[in-house]
Amino acid sequence: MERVSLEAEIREKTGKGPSGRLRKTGYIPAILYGGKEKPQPLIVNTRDLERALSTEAGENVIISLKVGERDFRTVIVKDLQTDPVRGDLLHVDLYQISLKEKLKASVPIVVWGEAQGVKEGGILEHRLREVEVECLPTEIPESIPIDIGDLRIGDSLHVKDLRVFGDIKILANGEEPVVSIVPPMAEVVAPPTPEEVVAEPGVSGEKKEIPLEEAKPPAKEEKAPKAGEKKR
Amino acid sequence: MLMPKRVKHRKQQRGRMKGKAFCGSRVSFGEYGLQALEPSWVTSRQIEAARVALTHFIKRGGKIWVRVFPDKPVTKKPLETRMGKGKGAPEIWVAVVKPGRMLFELAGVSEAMAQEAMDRAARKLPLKTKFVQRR
Repeated sequence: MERVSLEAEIREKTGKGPSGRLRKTGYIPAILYGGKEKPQPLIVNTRDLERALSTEAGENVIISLKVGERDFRTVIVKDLQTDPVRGDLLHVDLYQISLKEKLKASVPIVVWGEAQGVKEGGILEHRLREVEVECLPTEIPESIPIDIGDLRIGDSLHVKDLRVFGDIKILANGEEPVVSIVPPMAEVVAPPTPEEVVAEPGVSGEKKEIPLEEAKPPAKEEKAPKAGEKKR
Repeated sequence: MLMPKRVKHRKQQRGRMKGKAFCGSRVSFGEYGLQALEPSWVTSRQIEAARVALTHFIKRGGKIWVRVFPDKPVTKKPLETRMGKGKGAPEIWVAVVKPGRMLFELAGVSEAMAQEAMDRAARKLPLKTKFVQRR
């Protein structure tokens, strides 16, 4: 497991406004929690964080965090928020860990080889791309490889087929499929209808379904004007 | 075409499309995706046309996921009708799409083929899109 160092400063101002102004200066807001202390809002340099996350360990990297001048913590990235369009980092959750205590982490599953079924025309379907494991922070694997060379159309590999070494426990259900080879899909062409009518779905809670033609608003009944209302 | 089986109310107000789509903005099922870059209503016909363009291009290889569903009824008044007399009848179903929303996903094909297929699908849609890959 790779270890990188990162510097952070204590964040005094919280909320949408200060965080937005902070992001424009090349830093992002972060929060540090875990252990027995209260959650601590922090400021992290965006470039430094991107560099820390660009190792082969990905988001499972162990970070030696320097908070202020003297405070050193060992943390992992618990959550990462990104902009959905631009992909920029928006916020990071840092979780303080102990190197002697086991933790839960998501590890990517890497597929090896080309399946026999794919050569025959089947489609490789990834059902599970990450699996949750429990182990010591120093033993978190970068990835879990799985060999799919022998798979034919209709075959699947399950979580129980994953092989991990050392004191690592896979927490996912053993019967859950990881990859499967499915037959190629047939092109579905909807039969052309003479005139496409937008059918109206039923309205839940109604006693009787109203067809589209009858669903016009009922004609207003003439009511006697209320007292105090002017007659036109 | 896609439409809900049952709805709670027949007619809806138009609403606004502020902000970005934080939910459903990642490639979750396939390898490649088509991501919206601007807000728009996408009708069930447009979704179907894009889906047909995708399936037609990739033929029998690959798998497609449609990540949007048109669950919003849009009403229209008949032609040459005077204003008033209540809201019009439901005419079409649309999906409310915000920037960042993943519209389609694709797996089991090469990158070049996926890019071309998504490009063809994008031409059927009323909004700017970009081709994205799983990170």
